[in-house]
Amino acid sequence: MSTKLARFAQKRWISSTTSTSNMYDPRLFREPISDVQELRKPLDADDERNFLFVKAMKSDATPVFYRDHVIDKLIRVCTKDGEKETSRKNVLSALEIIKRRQYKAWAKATDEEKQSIELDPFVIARKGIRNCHPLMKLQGVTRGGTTYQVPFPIEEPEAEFRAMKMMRDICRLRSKHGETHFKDILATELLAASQNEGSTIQAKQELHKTCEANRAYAHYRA
Amino acid sequence: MLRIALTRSSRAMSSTSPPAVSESDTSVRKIGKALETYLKNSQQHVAMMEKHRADFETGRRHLAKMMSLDIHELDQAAIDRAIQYLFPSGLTDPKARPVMRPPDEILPKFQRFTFDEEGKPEGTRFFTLNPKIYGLLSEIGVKTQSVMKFYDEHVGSRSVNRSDLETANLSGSQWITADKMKKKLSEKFSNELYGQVIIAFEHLASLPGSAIEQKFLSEFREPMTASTDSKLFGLAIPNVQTCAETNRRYAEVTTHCKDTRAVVKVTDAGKGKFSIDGLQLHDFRHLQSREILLAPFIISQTLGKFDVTATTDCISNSLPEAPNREPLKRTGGMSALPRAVRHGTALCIAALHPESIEPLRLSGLLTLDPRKNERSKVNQPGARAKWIWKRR
Repeated sequence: MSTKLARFAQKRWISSTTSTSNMYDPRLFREPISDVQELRKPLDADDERNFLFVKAMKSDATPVFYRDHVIDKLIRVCTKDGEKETSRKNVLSALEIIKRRQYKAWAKATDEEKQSIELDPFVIARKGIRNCHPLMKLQGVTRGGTTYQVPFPIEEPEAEFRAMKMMRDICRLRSKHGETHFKDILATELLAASQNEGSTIQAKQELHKTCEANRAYAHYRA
Repeated sequence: MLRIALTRSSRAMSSTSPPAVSESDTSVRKIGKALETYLKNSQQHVAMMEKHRADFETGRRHLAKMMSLDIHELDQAAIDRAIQYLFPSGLTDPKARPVMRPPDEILPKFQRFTFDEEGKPEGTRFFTLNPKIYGLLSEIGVKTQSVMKFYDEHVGSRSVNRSDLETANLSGSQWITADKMKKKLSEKFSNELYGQVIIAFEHLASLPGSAIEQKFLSEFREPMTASTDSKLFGLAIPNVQTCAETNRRYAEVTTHCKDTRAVVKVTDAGKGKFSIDGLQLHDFRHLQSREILLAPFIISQTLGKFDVTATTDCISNSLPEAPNREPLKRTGGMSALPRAVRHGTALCIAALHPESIEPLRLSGLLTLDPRKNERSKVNQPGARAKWIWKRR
């Protein structure tokens, strides 16, 4: 009895935090800071990182000057079979293709038109993905043996992910072995999406339409 | 029964005993059985300690003679060295090795009580057998009452700091263990009592307004990372050495990531060269591997100031053959070796360039990555993956 009580009294059992089989003990480790600007600032006096351990830096979080949240996420979403380096090559060459096309257009254009042509492929990619963010998502909810597609609201990170996933699926469908390449289609898709055109934007609008049609099921959201 | 002689001895033993009853008082007193035993034990303990102290002194003199040292030179550190020399022990547990220390340090302590003139124990909690721990419990109780009263009186008023009305800040620390509490209170008690104390502490700490008792609570808490001296998980920052030939400062450390081990040496006043088993930065074809290798330099803003030399026992398949080495084992992915080298480099940079310790620590580069490949399970295709269930 006494040993049982003592075991109960150990911090582990009283603590409200759940302990999972994580190599990083959640009571001891906190997330690292990977932003160089933020690292230069002094830490708050009551920040837990003052007296706890910090997790090791992630492999893909090195603060290099070209670190870009959207591009990194796009690379992760497009990865297949764990071949991230291939996926990175694909996405970066798509950006290169965008750059080349834009520069060609820029070189041909007159002086007034030159102002309106965006040359930075990173900006174009970010804008394209931003335009593809859906406002709602459809999720299956089973009620009485029937599965209804119920529209749910989504948060910003998930909207970003779904936009990338839609774009990736479309590009994968269209790329055929040897004939058309993923990078070319991705470049076209990103450029079109940045102008609010293209199949990804269409897919988004289709999704919105279905959500609108299924709004009667909204009360199934539990 | 026992006569005045015993009362006198009890007075001699108690540290804060009041002035004695006059010597002329020769009346026979009745003394309880417990006190009688206590006095007997106390006398025995004093005698034993005297004997052991004398033995220790004799032993020390003999040891000094054996080691041909002067008796004054033989302090505790010298004794430890002599014992290690005379009785070399291969036992791993430090507690199992032979020691020679003053008896006051290693022999169990005798718990002393104070008595009043009539030979009754002072302090109302004597007969609880655990006076200290019950004292602590009642102290927690009193403080709990006062915290509740303080909160009720001052909630919503502007006369006190708002921070005083919050719960105590206990983040990053934990209650001291039963053993440490026993040492702190110098009293033995059961695990059950310890459990009750912790429950009482948790209740007090959960009350709003317990911030006013922060100091009291923190006496019984210890930082969670107290097991290591520094705030670094894994290896400590190595010492700086100086190369005799080139007169350049360097630091060396052995580390690992997953199953890839690496000995990393970072030399000061360099040109930012990498030599990992003879491989240079451009031999790592993956962009991410290069990023990982450069991470400590980016964080500490010392790009091109140090040279890195590393040796490993295995490299990944994607890397070219290492020059000047016999073929290495080909295991590990593309990031394990760079991550091992990164950890070693960061530690060495922290040694050579101490201003960058804090940014390196906060960015997580001084942390040894504890994650490993999870073992696959019997009757399963992988660590977590299961075969598809089929009825027949």
